[in-house]
Amino acid sequence: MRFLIIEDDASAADFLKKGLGGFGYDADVAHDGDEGLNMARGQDYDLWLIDVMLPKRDGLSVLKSLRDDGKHVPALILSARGQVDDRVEGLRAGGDDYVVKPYALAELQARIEALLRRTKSFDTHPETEIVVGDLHMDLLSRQVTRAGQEVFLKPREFRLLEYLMRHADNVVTRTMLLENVWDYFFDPQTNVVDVHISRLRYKLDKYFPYPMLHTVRGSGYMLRSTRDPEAE
Amino acid sequence: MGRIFPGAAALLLSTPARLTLALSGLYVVGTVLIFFFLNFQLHDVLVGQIDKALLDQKNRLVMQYKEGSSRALLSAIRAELQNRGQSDRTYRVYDAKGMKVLEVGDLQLPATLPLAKGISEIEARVLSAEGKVVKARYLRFGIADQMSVEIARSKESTEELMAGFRTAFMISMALILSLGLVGGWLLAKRFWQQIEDFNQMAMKIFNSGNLTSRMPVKGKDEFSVLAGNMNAILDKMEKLFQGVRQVSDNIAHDLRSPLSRLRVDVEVTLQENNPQNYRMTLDRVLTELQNMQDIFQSLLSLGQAEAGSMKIRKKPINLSQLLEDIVELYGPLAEDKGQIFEANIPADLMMEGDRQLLAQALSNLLDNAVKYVPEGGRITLSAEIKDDKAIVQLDDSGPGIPQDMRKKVFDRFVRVDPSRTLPGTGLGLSLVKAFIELHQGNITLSESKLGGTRFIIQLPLK
Repeated sequence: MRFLIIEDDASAADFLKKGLGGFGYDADVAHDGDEGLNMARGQDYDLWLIDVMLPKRDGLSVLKSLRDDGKHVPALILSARGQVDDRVEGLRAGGDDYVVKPYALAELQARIEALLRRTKSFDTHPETEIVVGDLHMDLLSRQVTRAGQEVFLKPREFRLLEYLMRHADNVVTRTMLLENVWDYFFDPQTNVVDVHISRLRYKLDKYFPYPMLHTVRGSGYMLRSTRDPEAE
Repeated sequence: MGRIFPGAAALLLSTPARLTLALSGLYVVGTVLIFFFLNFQLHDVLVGQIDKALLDQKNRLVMQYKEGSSRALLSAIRAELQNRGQSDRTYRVYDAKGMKVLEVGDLQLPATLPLAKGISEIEARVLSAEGKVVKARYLRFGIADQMSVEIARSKESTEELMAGFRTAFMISMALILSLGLVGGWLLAKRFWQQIEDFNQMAMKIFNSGNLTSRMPVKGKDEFSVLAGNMNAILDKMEKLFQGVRQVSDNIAHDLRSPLSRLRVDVEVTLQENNPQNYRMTLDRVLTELQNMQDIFQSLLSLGQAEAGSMKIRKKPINLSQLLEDIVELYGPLAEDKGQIFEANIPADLMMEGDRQLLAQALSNLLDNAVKYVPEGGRITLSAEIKDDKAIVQLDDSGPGIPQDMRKKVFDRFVRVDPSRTLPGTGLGLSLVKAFIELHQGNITLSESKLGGTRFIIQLPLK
């Protein structure tokens, strides 16, 4: 896996490169828009991380040019501007996700993994069923079973679980859940999401031999497809 | 920036002065046209009168001749001259052989005149005025192939009348023109002075940066209205800048405290030089940073909302759905805390608004409610549409907000809990108010029947 970081702040780029290295990703760094555009055109990367405010050529214009070239590499936009409008503009320019600075590294990692996963499953047929371990979700009848036993969920719990299942074995952050399950682009001061997760966990894990839905300290949650004795 | 007007030259360049000059020029052209028209018309009328008199005379003389004879004709001419005077006219009569029978009157005509049909214009000398040359109207006619008569009448009186008219016209035109110019000049000066006052005040404010100065307001004309509006802008700016100053004070306070905590924590840890504590310290630092980041984000949103740079994306939304979603989000949390959370929301209340901003505002209010209402307490959310307004009401049985704090709680960094033990930035309610006001709505608070606080949000439907 090789990523391209387009970021003009040299030390921020360096920290980011180190941080990604810690997760097992290599990254090249471009320090302005033109350099970023050239590097992205010259080499195949698995992911672009693009800052918006760049010298010479802003990040959104770089991304637009690359998309016009027909390149479909997943792009994560890193921006200091966090209004809903900025986000919409970023996604419209061809971004696949949008992270507001300052971000937690764990948040970034979770979103990168979600993006890489999404591109992998791009070419699969429209699914009617998701399976994670012994958990089955029928998207048509909206039925969920674990080890053959039906789990009864409210509509929101169903959406929550669907998102977790689609990102199984990856960390999913509270912000990602708020954005994707509730469609809220702000963070409530209280951890409302935690409560929803614990309700879901009760229905999902209480009557079964081992838990699937885990809390990842300091980051978010993970639905594991396999039993993890360490986390029990 | 900063046009300095150096006196009269600039005044001449000013809009009203140029307008006055242009209007005066237009006026002069118009007057000249009118003058030529009137001059021509007047001349025509006066000459027409002379010509008519000549033709009348002709008819009378022809009649006299037919009734009497050449004698009667001659005596009629003499009688005419006696009655009307002879200074401005002359008659010449010839018999059938072409011999001059009579020549009377003060106008000396040339001996022979070209034959012309009808009345023509000739030059003649006035004998009584030392041979002065004047223009005259002249008519020659025959009577029954016997006699031939010439009549001439001086145009002098007509010319005099015309001259008088021209003089009067010129004088009045000059008077009106100078009045116009003077009036225009005064008007221009008045306008220029007022605009100059504005300019100077604007430059003064620009140069000094002192927003307490105001534009002069005199009377009730459009300049005063303009000045009033500019003053309103200055009022608003002054208020905003005061707000900014207030905020920077607050930021200094609320961000400095965590910063100094951070600093001490890090320094102490380094001093202890025990690597086993590093991790714990870094965890605390991270928590503190997150807290500061929250304050920063809230301040940024608040600043953008209040400065009007935040874009509000109004779309038709189902308010009932929006509220149900929020209830659904917070319901389990309230339940876990042993609170009774009830919602009374009619279906399908529709309005135009920004879902994200409204949801964030309500989420902030519910954060507070859930935080402050004790176990076993109640929270109720209700909504209705009344008189083109959506009204959302949130009641709780919490400790309530004392009377003297009710206005202040919407200010930045104001916290009801004086010990500041519960987590919070002190910006939540400020954000709520800013987001509601972005929707041209308002939020008030009073005592709730449940014993705690009641927030009432009023939002226009469009």
